[in-house]
Amino acid sequence: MEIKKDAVAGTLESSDAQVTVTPTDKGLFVHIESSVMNQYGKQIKAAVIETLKNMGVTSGRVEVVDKGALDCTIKARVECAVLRSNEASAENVNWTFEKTAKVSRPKPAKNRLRRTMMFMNAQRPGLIKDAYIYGSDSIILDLEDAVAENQKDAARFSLYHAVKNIDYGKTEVIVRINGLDTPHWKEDIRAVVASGADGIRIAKCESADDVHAVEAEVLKAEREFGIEEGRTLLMAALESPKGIMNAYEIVTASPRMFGCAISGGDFRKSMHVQIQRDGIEMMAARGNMLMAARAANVQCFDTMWPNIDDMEGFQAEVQQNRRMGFDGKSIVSPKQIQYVHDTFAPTPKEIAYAEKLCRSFNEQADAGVGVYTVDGKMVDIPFFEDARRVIALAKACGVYHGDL
Amino acid sequence: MINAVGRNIPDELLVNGREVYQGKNYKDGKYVQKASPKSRMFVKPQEDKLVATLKEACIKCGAHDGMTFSFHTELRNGDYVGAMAARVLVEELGLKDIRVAATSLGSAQDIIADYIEQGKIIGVQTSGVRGRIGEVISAGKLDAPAIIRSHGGRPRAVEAGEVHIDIAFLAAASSDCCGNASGVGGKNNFGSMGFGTHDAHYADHTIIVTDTLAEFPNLPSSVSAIDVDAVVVVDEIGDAGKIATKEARMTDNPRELMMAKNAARVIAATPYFKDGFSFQTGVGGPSLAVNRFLEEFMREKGITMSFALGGTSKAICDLMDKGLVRHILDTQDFDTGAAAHIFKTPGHHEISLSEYANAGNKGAYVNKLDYVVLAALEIDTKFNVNVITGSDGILRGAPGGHPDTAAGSKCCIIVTPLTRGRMATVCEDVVTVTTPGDCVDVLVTDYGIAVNPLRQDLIECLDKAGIEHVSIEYLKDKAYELVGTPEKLEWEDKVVAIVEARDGTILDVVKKIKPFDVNAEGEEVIF
Repeated sequence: MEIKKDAVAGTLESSDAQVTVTPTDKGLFVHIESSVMNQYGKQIKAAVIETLKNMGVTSGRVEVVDKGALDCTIKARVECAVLRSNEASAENVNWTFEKTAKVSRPKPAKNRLRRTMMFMNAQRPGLIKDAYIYGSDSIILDLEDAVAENQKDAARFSLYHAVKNIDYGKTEVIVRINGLDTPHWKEDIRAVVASGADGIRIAKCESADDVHAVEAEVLKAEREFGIEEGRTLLMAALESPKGIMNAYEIVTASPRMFGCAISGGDFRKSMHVQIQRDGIEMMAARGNMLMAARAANVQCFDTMWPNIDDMEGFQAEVQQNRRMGFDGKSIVSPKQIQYVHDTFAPTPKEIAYAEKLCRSFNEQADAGVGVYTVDGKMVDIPFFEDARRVIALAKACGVYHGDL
Repeated sequence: MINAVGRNIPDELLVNGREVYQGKNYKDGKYVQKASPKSRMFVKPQEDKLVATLKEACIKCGAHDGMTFSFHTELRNGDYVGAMAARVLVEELGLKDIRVAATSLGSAQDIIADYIEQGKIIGVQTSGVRGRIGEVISAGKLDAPAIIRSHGGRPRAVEAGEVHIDIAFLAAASSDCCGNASGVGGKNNFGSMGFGTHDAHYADHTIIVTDTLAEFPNLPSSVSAIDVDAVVVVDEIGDAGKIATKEARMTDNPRELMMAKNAARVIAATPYFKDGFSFQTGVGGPSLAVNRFLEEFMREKGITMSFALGGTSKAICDLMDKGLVRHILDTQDFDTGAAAHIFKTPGHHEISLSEYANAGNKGAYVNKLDYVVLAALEIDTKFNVNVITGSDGILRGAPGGHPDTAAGSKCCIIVTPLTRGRMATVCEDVVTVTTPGDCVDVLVTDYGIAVNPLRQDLIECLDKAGIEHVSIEYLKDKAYELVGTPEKLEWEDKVVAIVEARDGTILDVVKKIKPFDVNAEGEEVIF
């Protein structure tokens, strides 16, 4: 591959690197400037050269201005700059230039705890390098709204190398791809699948056809990159009245589908309403979506609370989410994690009752009884199933200390 | 010679009774001969000690080539007096071979960097060095190494005669015509003058520099007229608005808040957390934020704090106003809120750096301290802490009271992110040891908590409270996994700074860094 024209990728923000490539008549040259030259100059240069070698670049000049970027960021910026110089960064990218990626994520679980799903801009290396430390159950690396139109390509490289090189541990890694009405979503899917991220959040999903379209591209990418078929999970973001009306067909459109979430910002606009303290403006939509999700036996997540400083409003909404039966919530700041986790965990009273039900059921079952009473209330099989769910949730939340 | 923290101290520095560091209690019980200043007698009654200009005051106080001058940095980044004094001595009086002995040095005194480069200022002793001064010292522009001392080490050295101050230039928010001076009562109030009061006792001459002349007698005062040779009134002693620098802000960074909360949880899990406990935080974002979380735990347990020590922020004053803190023993005020609180609130006392932290006296408050929460530029797997050099080997920090409080306290907690940019904060070996590892008990990072294995008792406390912890080696490995193992820095032989332990022995030296440029190997790549 050659460097055909001048191109730049990356920024001069802390934890990022800006890579500039220019054509030469003959020979390949690499120049490094770095705020950590003494300790990491050699490693930075080695990472740049390795990337150029993997890409088969044999001529050109590559200048790196490093502001403390990790190797995975440097590689992402070099790949993006070189492909931009070939006008080949936006589609049909060879996502497997790198041969030494450190991380391969285990097969994602469709059913798992997802109380908090935290959004962050996939284009910002300083944000995504260790976003899991705050303890949200899932992180959503965003290729959509957070990323400027002319950085869509750069964000994909940044995403790919982050997922391939940073150990996010047990935190689920979901990627929000661009809408199906944009030129970006197919390449987004190729990057996500190749990276081995756990799943895709389909933005602005309105019908089963949308899901099928995404699913087809995902399957194609899984085959292309030798990824186990069916591995990549899907979830739908419902952002319009049409999406809400079609919630059931959407969440049942694919076995990959683990749940759906409402996106309040766009939805409120189409309904001609503003955010209300009591949530009345989205009550029907939330209810409809919840019923669809429960009917399909998938999870259901509420929208994010946009005003980070208004903790009171946020807390009221989280309380309401729990009372309505949501499984979790989209969040935009680590500050919001703890409250959601505390609120979604079963209370000691709920746990005690569930324990009692489980124990009594075991006894009654042994005696061959079907319907009976606990604390004066009639109970049967569904009560027991719900009690088991409460105990399982309490265990997952780390608040169960009993022996069931 | 290798010292007790494993650092090789060049033999040529071990002259005139200078020893290497031999453990935190090595000097306990030994005697020190105190030096006394040469002090002028003011027998004849006089109306006042007002002098029109700083230059005249310097001449009156016998300013000369080779002299040592001092100043305090209570105005932090807003200080004008340090630079003013240096300018008068170097430019107006044309003196040479001057030495400076300051409580800290930073961008407010950048002019001193010029004088070092010009060879006018040839000696530096300080408890902190930031900005351009750090760069020129690191570049080897001083012939003799700079000496870095802790806040307790500085008054110890002054009392022992290792530093002899010819003239102390003490900024005062207000002073009367005879030199009864205070950190409040003027237009640039900085509160406690604890950084400066000790110098007034031990310097041969003391000049009070103020911008607010108060009616005689300006009482209560921090510096007494009996120690003052001259009073100079200037337009502005500084900009009090710059006292609260970015280091002293109350953070809303979620990472810092998470660490602060965990530090507070550790405190609440240890046995010293009972009614009448004592506590100090440093000024870094996460350590300062611990104040915010401590209140919850104190209320839950129904206890109050006996005293808060050292540098004081509005956060701790608020706790006092809520009845949760009985005494604040204040050496400096980190923000204008704290500066306005001292002297107006019973229980909020000014103390000198010697009372605070001097290992050479008989009752420093640090020895009664239960908890201290501090920051670090680096911490290694031996729990040694560096707060003076960046990972690139350049001087850019301040030990302040770090080594003193770590040594004196029952539980010293370091709070720091695992990495800063690509720098591993938790590392194999710190660039420079400023606080020995056996004084450091707990490390709280954004990736987990580690307890010094020397403190099995604290490990049990954390286990009992269900607070997860890991080994410091695990944290180091995690950091290197993330950022890569750093190349070792290459040094030249020249020592640019000596880091003195609080007892006066040599803890470490900072050498001149060998510049490295990977491009020098050639930029052409051939596969």
